[in-house]
Amino acid sequence: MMLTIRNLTVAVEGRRILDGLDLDIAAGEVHALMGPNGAGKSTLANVLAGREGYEVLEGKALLDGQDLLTMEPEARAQAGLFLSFQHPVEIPGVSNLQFLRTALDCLRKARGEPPLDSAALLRAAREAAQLLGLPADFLKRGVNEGFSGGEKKRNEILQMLLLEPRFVILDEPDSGLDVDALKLVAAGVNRLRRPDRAFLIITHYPRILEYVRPDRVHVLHGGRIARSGEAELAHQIEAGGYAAVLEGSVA
Amino acid sequence: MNTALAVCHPCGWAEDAATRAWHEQLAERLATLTPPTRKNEFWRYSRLSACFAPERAGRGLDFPFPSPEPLTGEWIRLDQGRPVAAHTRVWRLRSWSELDEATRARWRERLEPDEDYFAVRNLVEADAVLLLELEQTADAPLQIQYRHGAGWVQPLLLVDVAAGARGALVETFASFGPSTQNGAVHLWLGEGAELTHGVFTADEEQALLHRVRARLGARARLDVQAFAAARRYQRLEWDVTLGESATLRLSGITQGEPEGSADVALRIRHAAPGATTDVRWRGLVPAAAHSAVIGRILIEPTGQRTDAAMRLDHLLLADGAAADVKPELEIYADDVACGHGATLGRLDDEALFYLRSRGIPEVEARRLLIDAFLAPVLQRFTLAEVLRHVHSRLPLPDDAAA
Repeated sequence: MMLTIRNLTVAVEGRRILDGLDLDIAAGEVHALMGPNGAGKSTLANVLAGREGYEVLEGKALLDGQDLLTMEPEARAQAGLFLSFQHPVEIPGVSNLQFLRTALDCLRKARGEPPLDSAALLRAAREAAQLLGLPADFLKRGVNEGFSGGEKKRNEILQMLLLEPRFVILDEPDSGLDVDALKLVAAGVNRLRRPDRAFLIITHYPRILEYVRPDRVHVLHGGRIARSGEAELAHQIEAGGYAAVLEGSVA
Repeated sequence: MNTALAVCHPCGWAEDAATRAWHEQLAERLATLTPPTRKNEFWRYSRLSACFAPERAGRGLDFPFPSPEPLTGEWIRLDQGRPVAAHTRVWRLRSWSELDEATRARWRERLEPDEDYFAVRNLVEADAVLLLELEQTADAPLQIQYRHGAGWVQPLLLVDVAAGARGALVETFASFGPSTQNGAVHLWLGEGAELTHGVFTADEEQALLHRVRARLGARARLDVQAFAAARRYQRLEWDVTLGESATLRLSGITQGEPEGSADVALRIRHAAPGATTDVRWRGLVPAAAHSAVIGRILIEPTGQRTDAAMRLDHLLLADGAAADVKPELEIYADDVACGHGATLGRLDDEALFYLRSRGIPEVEARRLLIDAFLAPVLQRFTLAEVLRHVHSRLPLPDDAAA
């Protein structure tokens, strides 16, 4: 397994959000994680990425056998983890190009690779920006500075394309996107699908799963995976809501 | 061309009767003044005791300075407050002794101090008085290098930029032993004159008080680009009065050092219509460092159509960092556009996590955010001589950024 989560139990300010969560994702697979508001989907993403403010009470999360939960956020990224944020932060004064160059240099250094030369980086960034429909001056602008919600989401995908992580968590990549932007984001994800890479897509709605076909769909409820199934499960949720698909499941 | 021999003169206050009388009056006034305290100061001399420490007492004596780094272009070097070497082509350098009576009378009037103890003491005890005159456009900046190493050192520079002339000054400071430099620069910009004024004070181990008093004629423009790093104590002051439709653009960065205190005091006076002031100062304060900035803009009833903006922002890099910031507007005219603001904050945790989540180590991520914080000021720095010095200090080393 590329990602193995066992009995993950996490509290925020004393309240258990995740409660014994188990999840396995193999290389080459795309999994979708769905669930009602407040189920803990973003908590799982943040805990895996190493954000502060979450208390891990029990359990483990292994990425390619490495214990993520003991690692600093940058070490997790260097191990191949990438989180596409639900609400990407704006960083005025740090240009997208400077940010991408620094991040890529750090990741390549961690992988024992030489820095990418500036021309190659610029070429790759421009190509990705074009693919995602980002404006031409985007590289000069501050990270997410003044970006619309859709541009921020597309910028996350652009970073993913350039940084080439092994395991990608997309936290609601579809929220706030119109259908054209959604297709661009989905195209970016599909472009990166490979047998040695895996994805976990966190979403409320099955719409994005029309464009990025998942191998497995999970429903998070009561702090753990309450139901898992094939891609068809997303349509059942769309048709009958969470209550219907969770009926009879053990939460 | 001026040479070291041409400018190496003592102060010269006693050479004519009028100046002697003026100087005696100043000395009498100094005898009635006491150093500022927290009660009567303009604002917050945060570590004044450093200036009067016993090891820095007494008038500055000669000091065995090491061989200086060679300078290129136009430059002056002042050791212990006295000019010891210079190379200029466009700028004209004269000591007080070389001035005619009319020029001396004009400058005595211009130098009339307020009741500031340090300002009066600088005039009374000046190690040397040097007049720098610019009557045309100077392409390269005049570099002024101060070195001090013992006791109290009190250079006094008078700068006269003629109407329509354009030039730049860059002042740099270095200390080599227990000393306090109480220096002053008086800038006089004629109608339509333009001066870019760089001040760079890094590696200042001792106490430094540096006061810039500027008078801008109609449509004159002063562009200040300052970088201040205090390892002990330093206080930089600007006292600027703007003429009609004159422009002041003042950009500065304080880089605090552990155990160091840096004060910046800005007094800006709009006494004529249509003038513009744009102040942007940003400070970095690490643990155990202190930074204080006061900016006061006074708009008199005659200062109609003033356009004034002032931003004073500080980034506290660690627990134990301290900053006092006080922007003030005092407005007595009714047709003005003025704004001021100040912030004290820490690095944004969300931004830090975002950068780290992309594989950037924490120290490097902090450094990126610090650079971003300084960028709006750094973008206003155009003097290559200042930028060269600033880039020698930035990005911050690991222990300072962490």
